[in-house]
Amino acid sequence: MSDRSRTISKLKESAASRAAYIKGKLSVLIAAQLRALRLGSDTPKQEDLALAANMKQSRISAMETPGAVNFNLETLVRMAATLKVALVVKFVSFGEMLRWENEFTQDTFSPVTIEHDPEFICEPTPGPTLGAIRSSGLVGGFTEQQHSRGPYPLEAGAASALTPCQLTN
Amino acid sequence: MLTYNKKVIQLPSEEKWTFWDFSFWGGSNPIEEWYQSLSEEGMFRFDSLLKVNHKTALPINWVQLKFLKGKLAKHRIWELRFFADGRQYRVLGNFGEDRKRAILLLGCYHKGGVYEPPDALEQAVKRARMLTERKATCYERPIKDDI
Repeated sequence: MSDRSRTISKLKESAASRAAYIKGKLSVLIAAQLRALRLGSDTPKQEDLALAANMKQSRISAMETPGAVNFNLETLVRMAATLKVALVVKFVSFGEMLRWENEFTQDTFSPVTIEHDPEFICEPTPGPTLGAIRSSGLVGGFTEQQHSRGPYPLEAGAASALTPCQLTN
Repeated sequence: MLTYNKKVIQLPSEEKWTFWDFSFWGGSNPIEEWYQSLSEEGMFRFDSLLKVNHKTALPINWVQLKFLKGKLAKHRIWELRFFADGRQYRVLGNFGEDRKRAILLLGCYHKGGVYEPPDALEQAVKRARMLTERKATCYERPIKDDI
């Protein structure tokens, strides 16, 4: 039986083995992500990141050492918030975890920070807000008279005056 | 795409690092012996550490690589550090003559400012010299991308 087959058998039989596998890989992937995020941030030095996160520099160093820290969710959230990125905690198959590990490259790992996130960019533009238009009965809502007649068509040109940001408000 | 004389040149950054275990000519592989002494979690962690680092172009950006300082700095020996089994493990290594080759010379741990074994640094320097003098060899440690 090959080493791989033996490992897979153990993983199938033992929760302790599965926990060891998950902890072993996660500890490295979290450390590598934190390191990559720090080096690409406005606070590339550990001392500066520590200041921003209200932690000691030694704590940052420990977090970038695989296995040195037993992370809790609160700490990960705090680091994500300091580094201006979000965090996903998701239960997945072992295959998906392996694929993530195989595909992960520290050099190219650079999630978009919130200031540059297109989903969260909202440039204010002059013109009516959607709320104002809705309350006038032009979009989405109806006056009592219009309700009895059916949906009121959007006035020509009204939609083009609305930016994507305004349409979602 | 970078070309020279109409041939595509592979960018150096696309190459991955390879890791090699120091081994004695008699066949004994002290790195593998040290690896087998780790707990299951320690083994998974070490495998993952090599997997992540072998894709990182510059060793200075590797997860927890530290070059030795002081008297041993001239030997260009570094440590890869990780925690497992309640210990801070350190794998001492250096870079081989060939491109993108990292040699693992010795596995040990560090506690209370002391290495275990206590002569870990001296052994690592000696092994590096043995390789240079062809009195020892090394075997590639495969990156486990299937587990």
